[in-house]
Amino acid sequence: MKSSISTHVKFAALIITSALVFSAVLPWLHTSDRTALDILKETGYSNTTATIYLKSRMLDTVFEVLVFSLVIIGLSTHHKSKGRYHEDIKDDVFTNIAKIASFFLMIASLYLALTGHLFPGGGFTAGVTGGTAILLMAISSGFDKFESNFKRLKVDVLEKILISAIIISSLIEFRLPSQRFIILQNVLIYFKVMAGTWIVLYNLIKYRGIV
Amino acid sequence: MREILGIGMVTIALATLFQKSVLRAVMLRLVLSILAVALYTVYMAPDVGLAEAMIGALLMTYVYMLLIKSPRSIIVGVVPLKILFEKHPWGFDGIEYVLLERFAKSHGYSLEIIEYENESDLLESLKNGEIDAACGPVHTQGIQIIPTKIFVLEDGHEKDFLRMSEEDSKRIVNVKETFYTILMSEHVEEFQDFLENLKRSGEFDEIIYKYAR
Repeated sequence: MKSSISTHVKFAALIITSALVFSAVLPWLHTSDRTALDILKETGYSNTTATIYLKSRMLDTVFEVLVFSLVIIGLSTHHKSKGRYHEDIKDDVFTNIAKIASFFLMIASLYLALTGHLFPGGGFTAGVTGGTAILLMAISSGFDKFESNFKRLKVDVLEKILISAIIISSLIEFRLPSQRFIILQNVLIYFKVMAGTWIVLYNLIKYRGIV
Repeated sequence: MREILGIGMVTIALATLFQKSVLRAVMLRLVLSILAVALYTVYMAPDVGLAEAMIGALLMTYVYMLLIKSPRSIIVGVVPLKILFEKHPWGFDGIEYVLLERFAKSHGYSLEIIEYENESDLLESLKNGEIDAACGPVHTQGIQIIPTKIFVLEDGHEKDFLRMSEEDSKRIVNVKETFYTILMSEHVEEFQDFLENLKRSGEFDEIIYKYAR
């Protein structure tokens, strides 16, 4: 257990350093003096909100994602103890409805992420929708299966890889502006937020039990 | 439409603040979230509305429900021991059980009891946070309940007063005076206050007298 805490601390240090480096290279990145309106005209996607927060205000988004990641690290280091025994929900009607709802929510979240540049939606909203689907999955399948899925997919490692990918892609995007990047970043943020929500739910359910 | 939603949100926010029951406050917060979704949609910001519906209305309500529920039970680990924490076919009894049960009742907690085979398992799981309180043959550290004696035997083993057998009593080398205790990881101060009140009203002596004559 001690070793995993120290890896979290190391990753927190890495995040803070990367944030500092990011701020340091900022003047070098801002070479052009395009306004938000210019960027909107260039990309031509119908969802202006997504275009603004992924193009002209990408820096804000990156730091928001970093803060979310720090919260997750705090939550997983705070619970040092072993998990508690708890009962799963045994109501058949409820668990089956939750299962069906979780399936459709998952599909809806993928749709929201992929069409985030055209219609209302985007990475963050889609990620939270996926997180809700995962919550329903935990309720319907029981904690044991939920935990084995969490460990098999190595969600905590995945989340850290994804946040690095977001930072790197945004750095590339500053130098090589392209229309397609907005879709890639929406999908990356979608998976990142979903993994983060999954970690939060896993910790909460493990130490406090399903309602 | 905007004015109605705005006034409704302020009213419900105030109602949430002054609500006495925690569960009702959470439900009112849920209503506030739903009104906020409507307001965002009216102001042509469906993106924000979607995020608010997912986080504010669904996930946050779930997290609040978890947080309300969790401190409501005290998990007690015990190695059954006569007089202090007895196990009967019809349930538990004994000084420590009665004290904990009264404490739970007066503070609105529910008791969950887990049995252990031996002391080391019990203390290990208290350290790991699987249980909130350890009862039974726990002595020296913790909240003092009744005085006892610890006997050191010839082979270096220590035995407490309630678990002595005839054979062991012939091999005593040394005697230490100490207390039987309840080791708690949470609610410690609450329980100490509760015990002091019981001692002041004389009910504590009554319980001790009933079981340990």
